[in-house]
Amino acid sequence: MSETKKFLYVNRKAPYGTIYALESLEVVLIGAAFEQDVSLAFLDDGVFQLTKDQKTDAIGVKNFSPTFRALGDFEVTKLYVEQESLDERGLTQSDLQEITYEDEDDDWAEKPSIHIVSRSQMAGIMADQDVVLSF
Amino acid sequence: MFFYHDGVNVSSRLSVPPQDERHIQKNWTALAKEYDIDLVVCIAAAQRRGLLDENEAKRQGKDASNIAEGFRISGLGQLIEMGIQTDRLVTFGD
Repeated sequence: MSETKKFLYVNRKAPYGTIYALESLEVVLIGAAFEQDVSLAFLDDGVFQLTKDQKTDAIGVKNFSPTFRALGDFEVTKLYVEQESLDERGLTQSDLQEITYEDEDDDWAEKPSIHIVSRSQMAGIMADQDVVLSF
Repeated sequence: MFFYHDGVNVSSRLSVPPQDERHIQKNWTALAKEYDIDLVVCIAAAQRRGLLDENEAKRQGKDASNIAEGFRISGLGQLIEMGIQTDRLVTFGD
């Protein structure tokens, strides 16, 4: 397995209520072992997956949002969030978790993993991929 | 062919759709036999939804299995591997 491909995981659903978001994250974590060029996209209700201070006790499901902060350890460091989707839901970047990674090519400097991009930029990111998996 | 999310439900041999409706599991099993297609079902998604092959049923202490002929259970790594090896990966469903 010498070839490296660009994988994009597109997340479009709210974190709870359906299993899509969790099953997407499961693929991302398994896929991280394959040392591909991985990016995640969050649009539509998918932007809710990254919101901070999630509390799920009352609905009896696991709060898996802290796992996003661990993605950097798996070299998953590109999380693209669509600006329009945030706007449409009355959210701003300050409503999202702070997610960072340590850049081994830059003396392990801590850098943000989340990039807010416009809808048209998101289209460009998608067009640039080899494999797109949508959830 | 990789079955993930609710797509794993296709692999149940216990589905009984009305006679005038298509039987998706039977159609897949027949297609796989005719063209020698590997039908892989994600184990994590399958177990979450109560779909087990004989080995898994035994391992989990269940009294029945329900995976249809032609389907086999494997891990998500297979999906990634397919993405790496194939010229094009096509996704159906939402």
